[in-house]
Amino acid sequence: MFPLFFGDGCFEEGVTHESLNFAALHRLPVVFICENNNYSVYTSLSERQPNRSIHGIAAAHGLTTFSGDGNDVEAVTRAAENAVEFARSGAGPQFLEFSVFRWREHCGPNFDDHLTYRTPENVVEGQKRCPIQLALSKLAESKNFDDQNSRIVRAIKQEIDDAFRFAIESPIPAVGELGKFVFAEA
Amino acid sequence: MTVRTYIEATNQALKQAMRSDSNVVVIGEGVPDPKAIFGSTAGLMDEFGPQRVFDMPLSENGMTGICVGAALTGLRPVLVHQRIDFALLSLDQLVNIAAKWHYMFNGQATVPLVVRTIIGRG
Repeated sequence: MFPLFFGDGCFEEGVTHESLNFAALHRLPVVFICENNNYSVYTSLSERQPNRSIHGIAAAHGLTTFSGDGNDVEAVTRAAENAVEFARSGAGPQFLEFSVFRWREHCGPNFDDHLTYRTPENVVEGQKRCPIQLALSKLAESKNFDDQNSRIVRAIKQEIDDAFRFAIESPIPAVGELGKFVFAEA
Repeated sequence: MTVRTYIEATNQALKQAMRSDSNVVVIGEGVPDPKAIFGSTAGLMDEFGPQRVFDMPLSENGMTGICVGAALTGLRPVLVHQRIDFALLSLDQLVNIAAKWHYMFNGQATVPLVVRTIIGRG
């Protein structure tokens, strides 16, 4: 089984349709997962695609499809589990489309909302649907929630800190290494 | 000295490669058809079967990508383009994908892929 992630912009590339066609033709165990955040860089979906669903096109290619809210952790888990099980059982390729919100800039760790490619209202609405906050508010009533939550948050923070430290402390590659592995040895 | 046409030599080379390595597969539009890419793939389907010799959709870009994936995971694909015009659609995958994996993975991955194309009649 092979999971494959891409965005809404990918759906305008011909090769995506070629891949869907081939996967359906040979009933390959692939789970296609489209994270639709409505933007390709700063160009909105309505300027790039007609008013029809992305998963509908996948269905027309012969794939089994599901679409839902990508901010609902439990719904995403259920849909993904089903799709993986179907793909593994030989039911052919599966297609999941999740609507999501773009939090930060197109490429990088900063915010770019000052460029006004979307309205402040859009941003506020999107942020209200934070998948982590939604999941936390559901879990808040469970037993020992605070203890477990702080333990998980601590572990995640530790993992991120370790990764940063490793990157910062690693030496910069030498210029002489630039051409290494450009060509494979015969 | 044995004299062979290019077509005969190509056909013989494919058969030799396929006999000596069961991971070699041949894929291309028209590969198993009655004209067999001007005869260069003649007899392959009979000898090696549909698991190793197969036709493809008219999706040169996508199929090149699929062959790149197959090569990365252990197969030895020979992708055949019957017309140079369509072969150019492979370039996206060859330039942007196939050529980069070895460097990207610090020499740990290779893409042993053969792409055949024919200019004129070959």
